[in-house]
Amino acid sequence: MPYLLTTIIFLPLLGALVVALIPGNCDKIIRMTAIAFNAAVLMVVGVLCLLFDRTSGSMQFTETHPWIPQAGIHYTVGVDGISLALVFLTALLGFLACLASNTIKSRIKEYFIVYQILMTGMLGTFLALDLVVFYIFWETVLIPMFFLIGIWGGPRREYAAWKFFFYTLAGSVVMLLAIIGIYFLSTPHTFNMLELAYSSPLLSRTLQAILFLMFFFAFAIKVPVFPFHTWLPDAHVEAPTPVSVILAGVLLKMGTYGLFRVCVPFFPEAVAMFAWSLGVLGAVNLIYGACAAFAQTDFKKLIAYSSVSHMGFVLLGLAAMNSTGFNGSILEMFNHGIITGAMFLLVGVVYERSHTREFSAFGGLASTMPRYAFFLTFMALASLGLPGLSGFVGEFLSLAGIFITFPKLAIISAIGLIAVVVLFLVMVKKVLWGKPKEGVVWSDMSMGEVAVIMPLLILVLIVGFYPDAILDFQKHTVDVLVKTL
Amino acid sequence: MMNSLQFIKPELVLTAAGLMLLVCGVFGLRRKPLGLIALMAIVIGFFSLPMTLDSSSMVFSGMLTNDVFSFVMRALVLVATGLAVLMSIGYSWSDHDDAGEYYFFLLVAAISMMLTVSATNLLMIYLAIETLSIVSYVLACSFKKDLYSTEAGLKYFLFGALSTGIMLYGISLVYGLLGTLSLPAIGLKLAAGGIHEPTLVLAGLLVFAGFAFKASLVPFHMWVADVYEGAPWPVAAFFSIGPKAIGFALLARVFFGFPAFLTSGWEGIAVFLAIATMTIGNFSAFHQESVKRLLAFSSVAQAGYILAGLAAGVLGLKAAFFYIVIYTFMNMGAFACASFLSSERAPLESFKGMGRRAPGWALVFSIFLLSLAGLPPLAGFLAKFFVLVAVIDVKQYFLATAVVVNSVVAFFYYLKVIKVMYFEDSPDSQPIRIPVSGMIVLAICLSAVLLFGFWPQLIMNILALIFA
Repeated sequence: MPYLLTTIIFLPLLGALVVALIPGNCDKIIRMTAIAFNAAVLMVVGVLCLLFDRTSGSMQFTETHPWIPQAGIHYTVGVDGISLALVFLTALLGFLACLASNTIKSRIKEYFIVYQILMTGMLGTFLALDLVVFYIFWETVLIPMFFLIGIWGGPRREYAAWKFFFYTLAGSVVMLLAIIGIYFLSTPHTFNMLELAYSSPLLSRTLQAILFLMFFFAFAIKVPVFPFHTWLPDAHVEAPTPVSVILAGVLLKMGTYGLFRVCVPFFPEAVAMFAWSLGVLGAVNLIYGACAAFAQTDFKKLIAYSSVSHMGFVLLGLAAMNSTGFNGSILEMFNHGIITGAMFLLVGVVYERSHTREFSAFGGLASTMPRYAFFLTFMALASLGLPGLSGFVGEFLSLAGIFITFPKLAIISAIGLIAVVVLFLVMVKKVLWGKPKEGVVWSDMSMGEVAVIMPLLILVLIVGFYPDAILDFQKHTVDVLVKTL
Repeated sequence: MMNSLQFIKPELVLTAAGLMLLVCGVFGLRRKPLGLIALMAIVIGFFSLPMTLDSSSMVFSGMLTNDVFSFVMRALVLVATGLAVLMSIGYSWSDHDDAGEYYFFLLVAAISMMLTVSATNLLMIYLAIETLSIVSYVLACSFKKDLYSTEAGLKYFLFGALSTGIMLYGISLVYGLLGTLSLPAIGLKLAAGGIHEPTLVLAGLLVFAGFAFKASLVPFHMWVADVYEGAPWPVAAFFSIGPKAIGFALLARVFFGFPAFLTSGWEGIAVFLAIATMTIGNFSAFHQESVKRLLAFSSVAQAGYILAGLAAGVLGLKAAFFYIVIYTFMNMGAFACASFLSSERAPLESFKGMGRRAPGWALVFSIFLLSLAGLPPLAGFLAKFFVLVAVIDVKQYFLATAVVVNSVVAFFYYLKVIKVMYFEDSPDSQPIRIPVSGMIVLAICLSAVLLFGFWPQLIMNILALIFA
């Protein structure tokens, strides 16, 4: 099917144009249009998953059109096992977060226009195979996010929006320099990511290391890797619920995806050289994130820091430099998107009722909101890595991978895992158990809210019991990637 | 002689129209029809440009040259002036009654700029620049009773007179050294060698300073903010695109490899000035409370990026002129938007709640600002990108870093304006009306910014002809 990927990337943008043409006072029609477009994207991605050849580890559905041939820039897109899971995740969370956007009450037209542009940026980032095109999509995400946090966010929204914007921008301009640098160092000069992936060993170790560090800086801010993580709690806390879902579920994956798509295949020697440091950073993320989360009194901030912690697993899997670790790392990206996306939706549910996120306002919700209690407990268990649920598979594979390469790090991380477990159990205790607060009468989750989280819950179960549902798509790609090391 | 007259056909059209405007203005023709006459003259001039292509390569006994570069730059001058005239037609002139004179001066400025870009003789260059300068001083103080405007005119005059004086001195040194002012002849003499080097460098520096004044490079940028602030919006917009492009065209023709008539080796100075210009421009824009002053300093910073291109070889020349073309449209667009959305001084507060009062125009303004900041996929990003590519190609890593750091800093103040428009509410919810001619200006600029962002080849193919 020609133009399948281009359709996926630009369908949301078309949606933005359509929404822009609808008069501003027709709230309902605008919502329905946005939802329809996101549903359409999800369906096309579904078709993509069906047509995807799982037995192949190479790029599929590639399209190349010359864009600025004078400068060697071509619009090239393609999908493989690594990007497929993330594209699916983006489409799914994009659709669900759009459904959950009924909590947005002001400036609805602008909201959905910006939201749709954001979708195009994210999908394009995961599908682009030309560094310049990749950079353009990467940057396209920035401004919509700036507006989404800055206009529809919480009380400190402006500060959070600026902080998010400048952290990411600082990273991406360094990446831009590295992109131009690698263009001139490659022979023949090219921006094509597939060609660069094979020509990389031609570079000297020092050059590889420098370019790797430049790319890593950009990706590390996005992941975020300690100590570049400080934008994340602010952005997450201030962002409205659906935006938090996208932010945690998809945006953070752009960083880790970049590590797999650019750093590993382009600079295998440099990655091997820095593997130990990456592993240490992963362990620090894991433990520091969990400890910092522990100290939070704000429900949303706690989830935000737990994201930092989970991204540690992704880094650990990457640092393992073997197929087990890579598989675990990529699966963990997917799982984290699903689980944390659901978590932020659940925080949103109580926030809508209480207009606070302080733990002191909650307690005993299990007796008044049984459905909510079920979902929160379920997701907390998935998040802390209970066997049988999806979180366990990714975490286990990552740890198993790193154990082969750096056993000490694996042991430290496994001990650190206890902090994660305690963290989520304490969270469940604070919110659900104990005596209900006086005079707190909140209605249980509505059918609409359940419907939004239900698909995520089903996915958590499927991946938990049958991880091959996802691993099947990615393992051949991972094999190819490991061979280049 | 016929051949020479054939070459300046567009200029002749503008001259005739200009004189007519002067007379019509005296006899009380209204502001609008006068503007339309000026516009018509520019359109006719633009479409008669291709006719000048088949005249011989040197006209007026070697004073002017007929090459692709001058052709393209003349077209750009006409576009820039045309946009300024269109903007003037829609502009609400509060206290101004010499419309005929005003349009006459704009056309004279266009003529002198067109002569400047095709001049291949330093004397011709001087004469053309001086004409442009004198006209500009008058344009800057269009509001004769307004203190700001007269101050702008006076300031512009003092700085301008000084810098043209310096340039003239440099030119006289060149003549004393080489006995000729014709650029090709200078090239030959220099190639033959045997010239007192330090004097030549001094002469070059003095001429460079004169051009740098027009291009508003640091440290010759002091006048920019005050002059732009005092001058009427359309004039400020015109200054920011027309004379600036001329400054760069001259720098390219005389100093940077096209072919270099004065001695080579100016890249070092260009690198230094580029870094200084973008840094000082950006950091000065930071704390401006008036959007007009903010845009003025932003245009200084933009000059720094263009100069960075000039410092980077043939690839860089292409990038710099790509940048100039894009800059003409995005800067004009930003100035036009700001002028129609706000008042003469344009304080930042007056943009509050613009996202609601005029959602469409606020969006257009944001697009221009983001393009100036260099956000993909807008044309401004590609312009910066090509400059960066060229700079890295010649291994000027420090300059590349400076460009990158500066573009991050610049985001801060461009976004500040956008933030005020969208994040803050205003008590005033009166909708804003933009005149039709203003809409045409914005439509042209917007389509250029979007079109060139997606099809940069349109410009690149032409540039490939110039800098083969």
